[in-house]
Amino acid sequence: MKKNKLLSIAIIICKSSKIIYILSLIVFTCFFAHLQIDRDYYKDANIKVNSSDIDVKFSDKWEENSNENVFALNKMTTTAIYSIYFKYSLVIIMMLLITNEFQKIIESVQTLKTFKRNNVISFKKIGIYAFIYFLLTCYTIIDYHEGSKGQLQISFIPLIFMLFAFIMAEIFKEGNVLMEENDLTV
Amino acid sequence: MTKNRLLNIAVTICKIIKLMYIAVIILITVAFIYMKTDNNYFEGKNIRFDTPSDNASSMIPFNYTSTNKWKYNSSINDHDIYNINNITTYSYCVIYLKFMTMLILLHLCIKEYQNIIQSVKSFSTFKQKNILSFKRIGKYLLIYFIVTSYTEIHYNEGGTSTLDFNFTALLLMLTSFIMAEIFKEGSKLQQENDLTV
Repeated sequence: MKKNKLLSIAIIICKSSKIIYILSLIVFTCFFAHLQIDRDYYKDANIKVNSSDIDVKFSDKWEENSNENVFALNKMTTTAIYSIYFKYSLVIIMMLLITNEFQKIIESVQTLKTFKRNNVISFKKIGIYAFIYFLLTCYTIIDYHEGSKGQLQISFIPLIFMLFAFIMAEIFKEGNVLMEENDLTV
Repeated sequence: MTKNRLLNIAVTICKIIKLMYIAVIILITVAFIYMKTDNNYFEGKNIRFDTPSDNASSMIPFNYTSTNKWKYNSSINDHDIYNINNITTYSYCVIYLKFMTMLILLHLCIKEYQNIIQSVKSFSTFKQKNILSFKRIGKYLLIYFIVTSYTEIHYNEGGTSTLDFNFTALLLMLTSFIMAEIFKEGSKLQQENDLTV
């Protein structure tokens, strides 16, 4: 496969995933707005926080309620809803920014400006975004009127991704030095 | 953080992961032999064969899975059919070989990656062998994708087939091919530089 075809495929993938992220951000915002307006609509909905949940129910008074009622979406406190909304929006925005930077890098490779200064900066930015993503996703707590759910999830993939991005930044820095030397001698 | 510390961390992580893969390979082999010799040990246990693609997909949410189940005798309930004791010997061997191939491929990927990082550490970043390493990683990932995409398990009275497209592997493959191209460009620059000096 030729280099340009590869790069074109990568750019198309970047663009489509950017569109998917933007769409999911819009859908998520609409959902959030609707939840504010019509909370009873979600009476029976019970959002699942992934595996390894730590469920805490506040008092014995509510024991007659079944699990689903305590952790129904419409029983969530307003602060919890806002914090979840901001958290997930930030996560999506981080992924959008990472894809954006990556697309920029690929485009610069396509126009034969691979080892330019701005690619080094792009890789560093990707590293920082991946770290923020890691921080955002590692802890979740949801408060309900009658209980709360907490989850600690340390996912090493964003961390490894961050390390990879920083290493790439260093490699590109080396390439940049080489290119500048070359430009000076020519 | 200085460059060397970063690279050292990466090399250490690579080494740990390689060790883990080797340990898993040994464990699976031991379990496989044990299962063959003492079939009744797993009496009543129902083990599911999932491909390890749950966490990776949270960052890049492109995964496609579809499962298909069939049985020859509909009067027996699912639990008795889809049981680890009832897997045919042929299926056992296929599953074992599949997991082995997967683990070996991952191990090889990590090994190549470690080679690249070590060459960056010794200031021979844009050498020909790094380009080859990235290309090899790309090929390994393609094989990994193909191996993981289809699973078929035959039981004595039925069977399951799973189609599981792990697009993360494909994306990583694309990235490593792009990296190979970037390194090729770097290698050209380096050669020009060496000639002028």
